[in-house]
This record gives sequence, structure tokens and C-alpha cells, in this order.
Amino acid sequence: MTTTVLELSGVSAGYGRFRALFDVSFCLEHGSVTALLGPNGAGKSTVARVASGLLTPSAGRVLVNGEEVTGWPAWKVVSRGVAHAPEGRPVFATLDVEDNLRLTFFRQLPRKEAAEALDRAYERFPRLAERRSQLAGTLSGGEQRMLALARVLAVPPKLLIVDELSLGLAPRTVDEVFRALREIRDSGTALLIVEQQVSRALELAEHLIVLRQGRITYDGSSVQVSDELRSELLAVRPDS
Amino acid sequence: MTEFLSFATPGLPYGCVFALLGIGLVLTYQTSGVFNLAFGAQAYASALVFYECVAHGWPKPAAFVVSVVVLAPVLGLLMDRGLYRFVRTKPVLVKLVAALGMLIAIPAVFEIVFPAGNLYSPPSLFLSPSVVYFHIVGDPINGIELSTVVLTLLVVLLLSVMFHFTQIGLRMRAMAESPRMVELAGVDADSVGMASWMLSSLLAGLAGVMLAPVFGDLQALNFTTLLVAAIAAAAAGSLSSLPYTFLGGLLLGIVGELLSGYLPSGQVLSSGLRPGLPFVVLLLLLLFLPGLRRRWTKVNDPLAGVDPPPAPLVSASRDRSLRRRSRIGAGALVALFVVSSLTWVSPSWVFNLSQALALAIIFLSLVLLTGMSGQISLCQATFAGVGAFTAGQLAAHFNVSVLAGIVVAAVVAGAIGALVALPALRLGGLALALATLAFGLLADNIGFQYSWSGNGQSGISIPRPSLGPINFSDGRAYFCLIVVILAICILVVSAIRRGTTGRQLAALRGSELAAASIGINPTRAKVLVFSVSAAIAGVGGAVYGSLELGASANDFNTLLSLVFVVVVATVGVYTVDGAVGAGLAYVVLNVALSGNLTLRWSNLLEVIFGLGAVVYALHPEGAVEYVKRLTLERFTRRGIETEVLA
Ligand SMILES: Nc1ncnc2c1ncn2[C@@H]1O[C@H](COP(=O)(O)OP(=O)(O)OP(=O)(O)O)[C@@H](O)[C@H]1O
Ligand SMILES: [Mg+2]
Repeated sequence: MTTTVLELSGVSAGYGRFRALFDVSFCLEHGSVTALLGPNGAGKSTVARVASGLLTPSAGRVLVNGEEVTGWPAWKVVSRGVAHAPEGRPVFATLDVEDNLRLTFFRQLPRKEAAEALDRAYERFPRLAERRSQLAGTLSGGEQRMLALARVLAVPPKLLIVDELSLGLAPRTVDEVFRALREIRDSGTALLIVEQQVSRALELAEHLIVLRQGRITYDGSSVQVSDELRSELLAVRPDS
Repeated sequence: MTEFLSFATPGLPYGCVFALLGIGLVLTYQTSGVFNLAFGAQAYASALVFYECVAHGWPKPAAFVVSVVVLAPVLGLLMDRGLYRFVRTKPVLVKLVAALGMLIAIPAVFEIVFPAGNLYSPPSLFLSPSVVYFHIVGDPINGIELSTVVLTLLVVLLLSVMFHFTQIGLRMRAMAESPRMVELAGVDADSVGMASWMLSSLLAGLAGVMLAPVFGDLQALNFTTLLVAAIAAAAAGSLSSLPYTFLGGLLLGIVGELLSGYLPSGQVLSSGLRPGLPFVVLLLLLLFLPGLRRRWTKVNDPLAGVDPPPAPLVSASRDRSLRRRSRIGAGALVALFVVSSLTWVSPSWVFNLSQALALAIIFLSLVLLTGMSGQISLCQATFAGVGAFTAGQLAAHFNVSVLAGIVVAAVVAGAIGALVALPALRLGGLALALATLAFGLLADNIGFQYSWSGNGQSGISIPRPSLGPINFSDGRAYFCLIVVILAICILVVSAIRRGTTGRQLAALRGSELAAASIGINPTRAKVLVFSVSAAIAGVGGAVYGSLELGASANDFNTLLSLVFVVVVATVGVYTVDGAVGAGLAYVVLNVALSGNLTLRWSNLLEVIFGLGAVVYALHPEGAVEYVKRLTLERFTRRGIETEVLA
């Protein structure tokens, strides 16, 4: 059993002829919380996509729990314990709330336990319980993000990647999102947080990776970040 | 009342047939996002194999197992592995063209394997057609009718349960929105897609075997015409609800029978109305069912951002000196082409080339419509027919010169185009495609049958134009005229592309909402382009008809419209040279194949066009652009190498 839940080594990736990542390498420890920061277009979402198998790197290797998963289809990577809440709308808009949850729960669990997990998810997020037969596309932005998080509650993944989950949310809803993330961390899941809200992310994360133009420019503890880097990050991403 | 019921009851089995096909459409649309226009073709394939097996003395259950239980899912599997899995995350247009290719290729393939000709009174699956089981208000219900109704009810029930209450059903529904999101939920999207194609293909096979005896004879065309009824039924169910689709289909069948019962028989209107009715219903639904709008504009895949953007057109990325050089080269090529067709090329080939260029005009209308504004029309041949018949009738009855007739043809076709597009356009690309398909079939069955328009199968004659002293009845002279008209049309298209409308369309392709917010009226721009495109098709049709000295309803039928779309998409839908290349390819292939093939292998042409759609699905840029890109790459690479050496 290795201590790293995710390892990228020498990864290059891109879209068509465009190259978005250049020789990116890093490791994430089991149960750790990592913030992945950088300016717009730095390649943060691309890293997330490579990690969850949505995008196949053109060079380099991806390892989950020490097992090489480079080039695997996303669903197989996911079955190894990687969950990914993508940027934008991380739910099925045309399915209702309950179907969104059932899709994940009933794949991971036997029927009876899945039904129990459904109840627990509703208990944890009462707002979703009220809207269980509403189409997810008609939920508010905050409710959609909650739904995305509720889906990983039943069987805690080894690693949860969240891509700009707080984008466009009111401060109080952002609080809620981060409270839920903290709970998920406490259940033993490692987190990779891509965030706009730098100070929020740094509060939760003990590890920081900074990406700039497709290359890693900082990889280390988030506590001993130099004032210079911190103010630079804050300047790039002014907090709301 | 008794009369009413006795007219209505025979509509039940028809209605069930419509419903069953409609449900098949809804199922594939919901599970794969493909509006499977090939559904009828798949049904035909199973029906044909069932017929052949029974005709060879097989017992019916064995024939059923082979044609439905085995063949249909295998066909679905093949289509998924060979085609649909590659288009799963592609735009609606690409999926539609892929399905069109299958619609054209599947019947052709099966007719090559089973060269049968006319097949009459197909056998019924379960109950005998000659036994009357019971009477409804004096109406005898025979075995075919009974088994059709019972089986349809059973299928609707089973599918509804599967769709809404099982895991596989849930996964299939999720697939329609985003296969990638399904993968992120830990489900193998590929095998779900495969399963849903096999299931829908099974349904098609079942429908086909059941439908065949309802028609009385077995023809691929029957199944294609049925499709519009199925589409109307699916529209009644908002493309999502199985029960409403079922009801819609049932009503459609009954109303159709009522109409043909009450209308005086023996006239064009009453004989054409049953096939035309679905079109009317579809249009009414589009206009008055507000819920449709939401359903038809497909929800965006939230993970579409993973796909790289389509590569820019070669012409856009070329540097200036290269572009100048290629322009000179193209000019020289065109000159060479024209001069040689005027001198040493044989008259029969001049005729063929004239055909190619007349078709190129029609294809140009698709370049304008599909390439520039991203819409798709499945009735371009109908507009061409409108143009041809306008010019012909004007010449025959009002002694109008054909040249002036061509201008009027453009106006008439353009006006009709605007009328067709207006109601459908608000609902987006898919609705427009379906409305145009229905319109084309309506014209086939009713519009072009009157003696004042296309005069049915017998057709009308269209003279060659003359201009002062020049008479274009000479082949080479008319060829020159076609070149000039084509050039004018090309100028019109490039003017639109470079002008305000072109820019607006480009903006609309990016984001309709954003474009509307800066004051671009999306409907206006799109209707304008659709109308101009119809006008160009009309010109092409008039030119073509005059070349052939006449035209009939058959020369411009809807199947041809579908072939046109597939051919242009394959060769290149984004550029003018794509249209010309498509015209040449179409005629050359036709001449090369149809001249020296037996009836059986004449289907080969359709197979080739159908497979062209597969190529399109994989390389949406089209063959012409593909070749250009390769040449350009070789050029630039060599340029770099020589620089390094120097
Ligand atoms: N589908 C795509 N096709 C082509 N280029 C893309 C695509 N998606 C992203 N890119 C490019 O790749 C680079 C990295 O994009 P990415 O989405 O990973 O950035 P990001 O760091 O997540 O930015 P943001 O903070 O704005 O979300 C950008 O330059 C972007 O333009
Ligand atoms: Mg991003």
C-alpha cells in the first residue's frame, strides 16, 4: 500500500494541437487536502480532467493508489476511488434529484444499502429532500453543487476532485460548500480543490500546488507559503 | 355514430404502427441523443429477412428468431461499434447525418443480399389475417390488427417500466445528456450506449415484422414514409413521454382513416392526405405545443469543454502568398476545365458535366445553409423541384423565357422556403430538419402530383432557354450558361458570407443568447439564409430540369434530398469547392456505376453514399478540406525543411 493516492509524473496534455500542460508532476497523500491554484487558463481544469481519466495525457503517467491508470476510460478510474465534480454544472440537468443520486448509489451499493444511503443523503441535505422530484437543471447553483457533493457521500471516494465548486455562489452558500468538503475530508477522503477563493482554499488545505501556463511553479506546504506568493495569488484572484 | 366508428376502427392498427415507431424514436433519442432517422430502414431489414425466411419454407418462429431476436440486435451492435460510438459526444447535426447515411445504406445493403424485387402480401407474425376474431360495431377485427394492437400495448408497457424503474433505464436516460458525466458516475458509457442501440434495434425489427403485413407489400419506401408519422407521434410525446407518444400515434392513425373515409375518393387530395396528414400534425404541434421548445433544444453537455474545438478551415489558416498562389491555380484549373469541355470532350460527357454543375448549384444551397449557419434541410430536392416546375409551367402556359423563369423560380422557392422555416426555426436545428423532411414528403405525395405543378410520374417538359440570337439547345452553349449561373450563385454565397448576415450567423453559431443580447435577431438572420438557400436550390432545379428538357415528381423526391445532404456532407459542406466537388463526385460515380451494373448491384451507389456519412461522422470537415489540409501540411513542412537547409 503506497501513501500516495494520486501521482502524476511528467504529464503533458492538451486539446487537439493545443498543449495545455507541460511536464506536470506531483503526488497527493492519502487523506490530505491540496489546493490547486493559478490564474485563469493555467491548466487547473486540465489537470483535474487528466486525473479522472476524462482526458488522456499525450505523455507521462497517471497513478492512482500506485496503480498505473494512464489511458484508462474515466469510469474505470472512477471505480478505483476517484470522484470528480467538474467545473460548471456538475449534475445531470435532465434527471431529477433522486435519479441523480440513484445513478451513483445503486452502482456502488447493493439495493438495500443504496436506499439507506439515499435517506442519509437527504438527512444531511434537507434542501435536496424537498426537491427530490425536481429536475436538477432547475435547481439553484448552490443546490446543484450540494447535489454534486451528496453523490459522493454514500461511499467515500479515496480522492475527490472539485473544480471551482464555489464559483458564483453567495458567501453563505460557499460556507456550506466548504463545511460539506470538511466533512468529506473527515471521513478519510483526500481532496484536490481547484478554487477561485484563494484564502478559503488555503484555510482548508495543508498542501498547495500553483500552476502557471501549464507548468507547476510551486509545490509544497500551504502553511509556509511566503508572503510574496500569497499576495501574488491573492492579487491574481481577488477574494469576494 | 356507427359510421364514424366503422371508419375509425381500421385506424387502430395503423395508429399502433405509428406509435410503435414513434416510441422507437423516443427511446433512441432519449438514450443516445441521436434522432434515428434510420429506424424505419432497420425495421425494413428485419421484415425483409423474415419474409425471405418464410418464403424459403422456414417455420415462422425460426424466422422470427433469426430476423428479430438475432439479426436486429446484431445490426444495432454493428452500427454502434462502427458509427454511433464515435458520434456520441458530437453535435446534433453530425448525429443526424450519420443516421441519414444509415437510412440510405441499410436497405441498399439488404437488397444486394436479397435481390427480390416486388414482395407481395408479407406473412403475418402470429395470427392469421384471414381469420376474423371479433367485431367492433360491425367492423371485423382480423388477426393482423389484433396482434398489432396487443403487441404494441405490451411493448409500451414493458419499455415504460424499464425506462423509469430499472438501473439500466436510468443509465440510458443519463446518457442522452452527457456520456462523459455517466462515466464520472462510474458507469461504462460505452456499454450502456451499446445496449441501448441493441435494444432499439430489436424494437425496430419487431416493428418491421409486425408492420409488413399491414402494408400489403414490402418496400423500403413504405418504411421511410411511415417515419414522418412516427416523428409526429414522437413530437406529440414531446420526444420524451412514451404514453403520450403512444396516444399521439393512435390518434394519428384514426384521424387518417376518418379523413379518407369522409373525403371524396379518387382525388389527389384524398389519396395524398393520409401520407400528408403527419406533416400537418407535426407543424401544428411545433406551433402550438410550447413544451416542445424546451425538449428540442438539447441540454448542453456540461463536459463539452473536454473536446477540442474543430480545426479552422484550411482557407482561413493559409498565409497570404500561399492563398494567392492557390487562387491562381484554381483559376487556371477552372479555365482548363471549361475550355476542354468546349473543345475535345465528347457531347455525352459535356452533358454529364453540365449535370454535375447543375447539381453543384443545388449543393451550394446546402453549403450556405449547413456550412454557414449550421442548420440542416432535408427538402433541398423539393425546392429544386419547385424551381424546375415553376420555370416549366411559366414557359408552357405564359410563354415566359426560361431565363426569366429561372429568376421567378428563385423567388418562388425562396418564398416557400421562408414559409417552411418560419414556424420550425424557433425550435432549433432538429425541429427544422424534421419539418423539412415532412414538407418534402408532403410535396412528393400531394404538391407535385397536380398537373399545374409537377404532374406526378409523367412530369412536364421544360425547354432550354434562349437569349436573343443565342439558343442554348446546343449542349456546349448550355454548359457555358450553367457555368455562368453557378458563378453568380457562388458570388451570392460569398457575398452573404462576407456581409453582415454572414457575420451575424458566425456570431449565432458561437452563442445564440449572446448574439441576441447585442441586437442580432436570430430568427431573422436564419430565415433569410434559409430562404436564400431555397432560392438557390430552386435555380439549380430549374437549370437541371431545363438541361434534361423536363422533370417529374420522381426526379425531385425526398429520398434524393437525403442523399444530397449525405453527399455534400461527405465531400465538404463548409466551402464552395465542396459543393462543386460533390456535384462532380455524384455524377461521375453515377455514370461509372449505373452504366454497367445489374439491377442488384445498382444499390452499390447508395451503399457508398451511406458509408460516406460514416466518413463524415469521423471527419466532419469533409473530403475536400481533408485533402487540402494534407497538401498544405506537406507544403509547409517542406517549406520549413528548405529553410533549415538554407
Ligand atoms: N476544449 C478545449 N479546447 C482547446 N483548448 C482548451 C480547451 N479547454 C481548455 N483549453 C485551453 O487550455 C488551457 C487550460 O485550460 P483550463 O480549463 O485547464 O484552465 P483553468 O486553469 O481551469 O482556467 P479557469 O480558471 O479559467 O477555469 C487554456 O489556455 C484553455 O484555453
Ligand atoms: Mg477551470
